[in-house]
Amino acid sequence: MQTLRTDVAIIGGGGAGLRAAMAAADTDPQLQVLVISKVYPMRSHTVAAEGGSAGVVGEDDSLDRHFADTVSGGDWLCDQDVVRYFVEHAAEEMYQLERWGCPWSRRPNGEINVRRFGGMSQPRTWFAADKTGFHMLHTLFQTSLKYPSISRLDEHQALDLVTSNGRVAGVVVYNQRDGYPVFVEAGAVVMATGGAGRVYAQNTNGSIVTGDGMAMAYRAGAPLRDMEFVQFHPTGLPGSGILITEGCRGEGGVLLNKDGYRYLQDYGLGPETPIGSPQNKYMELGPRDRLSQAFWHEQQAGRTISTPQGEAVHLDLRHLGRKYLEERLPMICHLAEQYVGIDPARDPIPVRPAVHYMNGGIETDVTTATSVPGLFAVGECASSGLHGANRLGSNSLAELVVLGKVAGQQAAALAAEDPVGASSSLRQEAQDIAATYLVMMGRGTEAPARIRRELGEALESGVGIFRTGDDMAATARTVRELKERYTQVQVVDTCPVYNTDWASTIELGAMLDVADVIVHSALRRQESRGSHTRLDGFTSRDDERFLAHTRAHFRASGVPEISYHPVTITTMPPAQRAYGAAGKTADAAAAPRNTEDQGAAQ
Amino acid sequence: MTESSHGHPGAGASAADGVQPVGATAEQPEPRPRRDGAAAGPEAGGTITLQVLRYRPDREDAPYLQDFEVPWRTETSVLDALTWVKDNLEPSLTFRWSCRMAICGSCGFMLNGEPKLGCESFVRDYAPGPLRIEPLANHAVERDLVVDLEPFMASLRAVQPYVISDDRHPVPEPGNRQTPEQMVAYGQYSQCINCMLCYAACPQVGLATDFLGPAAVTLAVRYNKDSRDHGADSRLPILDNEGGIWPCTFVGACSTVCPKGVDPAAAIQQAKGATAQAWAAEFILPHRGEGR
Amino acid sequence: MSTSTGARQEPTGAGRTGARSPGRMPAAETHRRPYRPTTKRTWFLANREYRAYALREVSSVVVGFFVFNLVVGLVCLHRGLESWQWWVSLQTNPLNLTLTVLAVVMSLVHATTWFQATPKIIRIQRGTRYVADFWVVAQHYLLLAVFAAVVYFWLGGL
Ligand SMILES: Cc1cc2nc3c(=O)[nH]c(=O)nc-3n(C[C@H](O)[C@H](O)[C@H](O)COP(=O)(O)OP(=O)(O)OC[C@H]3O[C@@H](n4cnc5c(N)ncnc54)[C@H](O)[C@@H]3O)c2cc1C
Ligand code: SF4
Ligand code: FES
Repeated sequence: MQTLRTDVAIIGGGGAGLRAAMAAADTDPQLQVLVISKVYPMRSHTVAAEGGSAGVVGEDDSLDRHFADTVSGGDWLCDQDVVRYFVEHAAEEMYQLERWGCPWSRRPNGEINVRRFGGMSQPRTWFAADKTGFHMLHTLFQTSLKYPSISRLDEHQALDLVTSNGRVAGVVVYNQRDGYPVFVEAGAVVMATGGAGRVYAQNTNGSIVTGDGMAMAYRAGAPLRDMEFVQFHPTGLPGSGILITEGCRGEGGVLLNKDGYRYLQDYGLGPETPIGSPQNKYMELGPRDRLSQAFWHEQQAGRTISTPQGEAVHLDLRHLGRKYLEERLPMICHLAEQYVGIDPARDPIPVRPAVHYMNGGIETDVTTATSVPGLFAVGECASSGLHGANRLGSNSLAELVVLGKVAGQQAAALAAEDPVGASSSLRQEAQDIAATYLVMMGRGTEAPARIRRELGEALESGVGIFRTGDDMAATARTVRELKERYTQVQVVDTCPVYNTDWASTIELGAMLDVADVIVHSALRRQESRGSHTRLDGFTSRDDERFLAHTRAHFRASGVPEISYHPVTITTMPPAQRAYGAAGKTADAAAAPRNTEDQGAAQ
Repeated sequence: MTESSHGHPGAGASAADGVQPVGATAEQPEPRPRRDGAAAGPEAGGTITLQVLRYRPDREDAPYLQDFEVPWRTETSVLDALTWVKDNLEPSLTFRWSCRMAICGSCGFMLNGEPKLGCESFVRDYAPGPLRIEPLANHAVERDLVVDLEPFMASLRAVQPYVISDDRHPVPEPGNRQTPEQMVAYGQYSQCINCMLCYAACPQVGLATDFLGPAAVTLAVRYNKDSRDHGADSRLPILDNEGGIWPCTFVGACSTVCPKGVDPAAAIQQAKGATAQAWAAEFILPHRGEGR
Repeated sequence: MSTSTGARQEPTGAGRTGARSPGRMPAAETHRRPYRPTTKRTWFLANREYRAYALREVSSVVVGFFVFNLVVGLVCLHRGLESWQWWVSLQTNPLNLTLTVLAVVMSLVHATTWFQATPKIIRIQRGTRYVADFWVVAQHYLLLAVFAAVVYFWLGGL
């Protein structure tokens, strides 16, 4: 088998992976940095992010406010040392992107412009029209071409990590273009493989977002943390799930039910703000979980709109006018016209909640280190502790670069001080791993497309916007059954190059592992917090028992092993999480107490 | 580069003769009224024949077309139709895709001979069919609808697509100012999603193998026109080169097919203009070559 | 529908060594066997856009013939009356007449297609907008009209 040696191997060429690669190369230009990605980096799903990326600029805003918004938005499940580090470095990284050429939208005087975003008390979201992720990703990718020490394996799918005495020593990947496996030996490995939204039937994610990295790390012994917290975005297009950015509401878009009524005022997000003057944390600018839940209630009450692709509500942008829409939200206009045949300047857009983001992931600390030596994780695949039980919109893109940089630096430092030596036993292990995957080609009886569809439906019904013990238990059983069927999964295609039948079946394996963790983590959490909301008697937050991270460990047979560990709280003790008018009073009470204490890493 | 369960078009499929529905039997969702070949009304739908180019390097010496009968509805994109085939009829059918919202640039195909994004083209516009789906023209075919992108990746790297600063223009802290006017100067050229439709449309890409091609040149011009960049001199020898901008004979097809309104033809003509200017400046005032 | 040829071939093609890869190990053998389509010689007939392009290019050839004819005329004029009269008589030749008419048409084609293309070359930014293509094209027609008028009056004044 072909073997490559590198100092730092980064699995994933999205925003997080590319930022890590550049940071590693900057830390030590002598080191070889290798970016491995199953698609060309500019295809990574970061490209689809529309709204923007948070970073405090300007006099009206402060780091404390960003901190408080994030912690309360995360329903106090955030590790506050991480949040503190993050808010302190976010603007700096936005400026770094600026210097690299990112076309941030500007004010007439040439200064950075920021927009409002859900759950944020101040306008602090940097944006590049409504293609922020696209511009960030292309800027990062193009800038990475400048570095001679960064090389890439594009269209190489990572299969599994290789460990030696409990330390990660490399990864087995499959070269799709040439059609053979490769063993990449590395001094340090950074996992940056993105989310897993595809486990649900209705989602805003691309086909590549299948949780591969989460599953690889999990199998290698790293716990997955807080996986029950799955974020639903309130405004996806019915049917396709294509995202209609929160930026629409930040610019003043309003949500209407079948009667043309702004129903959010009935769900603790009011009082109604006048059309045309959106106010942070009120009404349409409440957090995502609350808005998705409100939709669910409206649907139960029969006040949603029936479309051929399912129930929906209306996102009304008409009052913004064509000129403004074309300047601020050009892509949204285009998407609405293409995919639902609607001109947002003339008609409201039908929208409904869809799975969007994994708040949980591979457990890391503020240095992005996982509990497995030699392995780092960053981006959506990681649970750094930043997002808690519910991520605020625009904190994720910022996290990619803030913690991506940390991951690159940490991995470079480790690789420099403790390189892994070549060993023939490792190569044998890598060979064996590759063989277990290759043997799947041309075998089996269970159609993967069917398992995938049933999995998506099972998760929608059991671990959706609202949850009950019975539904979750049923879904857990279904996932078990599907895992069982997966052992006989059928791969028809035997061609060695670009075998996407095989590749997507391996992804399905990862999705099953991730789904298993989601549902078991959810079952055990007997409270409602952030995006985990139960209807069966556990309808409120229970800090007594559950102010704790869920930790899921892999077990070769049976269900994941679930345990809890404490949340890091530095300056902002738990308080009530409230928005709208109620939020105003709650905010005053919950402001960070001791801002001198930086809550440094523990 | 994968498939998924998303976006199944609704109605009863019938495999074309001789196509083995592999795996589980083709899924038959609830039947819907068929209206073959109806124009795109709000509830149009029916079935269509896709003629998809197949080429498996381990089996065939040359490509051929394979027919698939596929159900569709108003909202069925060509990409949805292909994933339906992969999920229900032919798992080995291979094509790239990810975002299904026309932003990742993966899903360029030739649809009835025209380069298009599969996720942004709708079956309703090709009804009653047949619809011929082939890999992007002017590219080597790796397998089925997957083409070789390595030549483009090399061109991309060659044009130095990043901000180049120099000693005379230190980068201000914390960042640059850039007015909306200055952004407009390069804004359009920064919208490229690297989808390769323009390469498939450009006859010169097919004829002159070492042509940088529309998107790569556009990216060079994008940075040249960015007020934060000072690398035009460094990019000049790459553009002003036999394989640089000069193979372009201004057919203009690249701009016609571009799904993002990038207008690469304009970028190339402007690069030619700038190159000629630099050349004239050198001629009149030798070695002053300040480029910009 | 067509079927597979079924011929199973051993992969050809050499192993790719690390242009993109940092390794020192020999590359494994590739299974790549890309199919390389060739451009047809008649590609310029394939669609409307290519045909329009081909017409634009061909038009310059015809205009070239016409210019050549004029140059011959000048040379004849220089040589003396006899050869000038020969050239003038040549102009009434049906072949030459056809060529001249064709040249008029083609130079119009050439001019209009080029004018249509000029907005791509000449981009005038005003604030955050570009001057609309229409105006750039219109300017060219205006220039042409002015130029034609000047020539006309100059000739008329003779
Ligand atoms: C539609 C949409 C809009 C969003 N908008 C916003 C927003 O406005 N603001 C915000 O802050 N956040 C937003 N988000 C969230 C944010 O964009 C994502 O969380 C973030 O981009 C994830 O980046 P990443 O680098 O972690 O992963 P990705 O960009 O998904 O990259 C993952 C990389 O890993 C690679 N990879 C995966 N598996 C393998 C494997 N097995 N082998 C090899 N490589 C592999 C992939 O090829 C890819 O390169 C949005 C998300 C979506 C879906
Ligand atoms: S210029 Fe347009 S057609 Fe060409 S690659 Fe870029 S987006 Fe695609
Ligand atoms: S799938 Fe991303 S552009 Fe079509």
